[in-house]
Amino acid sequence: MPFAHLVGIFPRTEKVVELSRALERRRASQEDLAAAIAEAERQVITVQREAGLDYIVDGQFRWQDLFRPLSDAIPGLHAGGIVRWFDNNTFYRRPVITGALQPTGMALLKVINLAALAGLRWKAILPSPFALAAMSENASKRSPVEVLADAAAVLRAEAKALESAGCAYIQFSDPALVARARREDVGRARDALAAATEGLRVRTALHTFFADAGPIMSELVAFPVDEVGVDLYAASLNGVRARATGKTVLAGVVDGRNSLVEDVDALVDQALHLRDRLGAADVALVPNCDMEFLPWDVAVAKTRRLGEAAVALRRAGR
Amino acid sequence: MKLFPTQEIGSLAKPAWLVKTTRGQRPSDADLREIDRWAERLGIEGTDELKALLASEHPDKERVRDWAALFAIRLQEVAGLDAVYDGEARRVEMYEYAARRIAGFHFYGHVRSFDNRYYRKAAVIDRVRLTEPFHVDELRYVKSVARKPVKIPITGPYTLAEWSFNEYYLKTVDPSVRDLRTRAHTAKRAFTLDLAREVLHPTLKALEAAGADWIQIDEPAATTKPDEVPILVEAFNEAVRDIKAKLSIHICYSDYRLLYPEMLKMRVDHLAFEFKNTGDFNIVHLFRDQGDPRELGLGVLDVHSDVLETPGEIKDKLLDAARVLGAEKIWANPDCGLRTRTWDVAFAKLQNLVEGAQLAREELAREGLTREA
Repeated sequence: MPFAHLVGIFPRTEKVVELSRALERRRASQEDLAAAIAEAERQVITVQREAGLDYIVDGQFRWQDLFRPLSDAIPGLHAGGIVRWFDNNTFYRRPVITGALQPTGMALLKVINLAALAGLRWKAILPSPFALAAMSENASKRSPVEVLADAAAVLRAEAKALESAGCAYIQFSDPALVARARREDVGRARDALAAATEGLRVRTALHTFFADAGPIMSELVAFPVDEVGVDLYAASLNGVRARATGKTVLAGVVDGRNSLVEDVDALVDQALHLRDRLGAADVALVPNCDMEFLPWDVAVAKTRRLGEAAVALRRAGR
Repeated sequence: MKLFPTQEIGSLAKPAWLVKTTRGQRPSDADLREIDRWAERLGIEGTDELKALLASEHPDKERVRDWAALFAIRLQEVAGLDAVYDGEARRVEMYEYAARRIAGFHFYGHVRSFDNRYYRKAAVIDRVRLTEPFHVDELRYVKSVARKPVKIPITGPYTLAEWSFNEYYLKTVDPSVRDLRTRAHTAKRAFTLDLAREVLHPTLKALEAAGADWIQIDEPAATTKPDEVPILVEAFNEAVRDIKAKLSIHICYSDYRLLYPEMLKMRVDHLAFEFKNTGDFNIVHLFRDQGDPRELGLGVLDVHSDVLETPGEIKDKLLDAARVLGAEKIWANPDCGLRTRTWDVAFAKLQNLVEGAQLAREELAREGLTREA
């Protein structure tokens, strides 16, 4: 059955924007900001529930970027300089690897609001092992192979901890695999993801975005996860002969980088086209990437539209 | 023209007395002492009028901005630069200032840049239209007080489009085009070309009519999406159609390899690029290998560091580039605007820039090198 959910960091409310700025100028306290974030988490959960999304996220308002919860908590890793985040006018702090990474299984639980998600079918979002390794600066003597294995071990520990905490769905995000990887990296990325997900009982997904997944689609659909995501604003499927038999594809049809709220019919049409093009078992409607590139109000409108499109898809009985 | 002329790229930090006055706050005694310190250093007289303005119940903000522009111009002149402007003293920043003067844009709310930093990003919700050419009064003021040649910077059409959400033009794409990537590309081109034709071109014409001899078009987003470099070039050429003033393009923090060979079609006289930040001065070979005949503004000052580049280091970089491209093509400049540095640091960096260029001239004369590479 088609379903829908969010795939990344949600934009902050104007209140969180105001207080996080004020905190840096010492005009607000950590407590003020924490209260505003908790309120934003309640709001975004409500929006998703009202929209009828199938898995719920807490909005990741505590995440400064995809890697920061790990950079701040994993021994052997710290947040480094500011670097452009792919082809966006936004930036991330490149993680710096200073030694063997020590899995703790405690990094993400520090930044996920478990209380707000209690009783819900919730999902967690992590970087893939390849994305973590590829987007970090290796300032250690570890070889690239060791770094990737370390990243897989760190993420496996986090995934196991999330599973124990009641998470129903774990998404590994990987823009690097489609935007930066060489052909020979794809197999290594697959093996690292296999190591990170081995034995997990929750549903798992690999979501790619910001660049064309078409050239590696044949390999992607064989990755050891239940679902594979494609950014349809970046991908060209012309000439792709991959078959996603037995898999669910995540159709990145709601544009997280543009404010125009899409038509329901167009979303449904794009999702079905992707499903049929790849011969997938099922399709999920998702944003193509994090929606943090949008203002809050626009992201809320797009989330509601996502829910409406999922309803339309189900009503169509397809 | 002497060899290795020097230029600033755009913005300088805004003095605290300007920032506070525009926010409706009263400058502190320390802020007023800064006026005295810099007036003495830059040989600016008559600042009692400025202080009286700042002390008044409702200061004339335009007149305060005039003063801020004057200080910035004199800072560059006293440092010894060969081309100057006002440090963008009147502009909020390079995107929002322009977007707010173009009909068709709508600002929704804040978008995160990184960490707890945010910016306001506009959406184009209707066909863009120039309400009134901007920067014209600003240019007239600069021309009225500057003692050196003036170069005016203005944000380019591609960057304005790339940093905006695109709603209106996406709706105009033929609905039969199903591929979302193709739809976005088509809409981006239409948006950028409209900005070039309907906004930038009339503005550049107005600036030229107001006496602009040299216009620098800032396109920091130029290489963000490499497959859109043809749009960048096409829009630039549309914007500068019939413009007779000297034309620069400033692009920073970019991989310049991505611009070529398309860049050779751009009707521009001068490339002002950043080199110090990356340290990759060898990339000057790219311009020679591509047969690019334009002047090159060599970024030799890191605008994100307080460390002062020495005149000797600057001289070496200029001479290295001259040996590849020919000395007559080389200008010396910071990587980008110096707005993140204090005036003390910016002034010292610019003084070293001027001294480094002078050392390069002297060494070239001593060595008796020809001006041709």
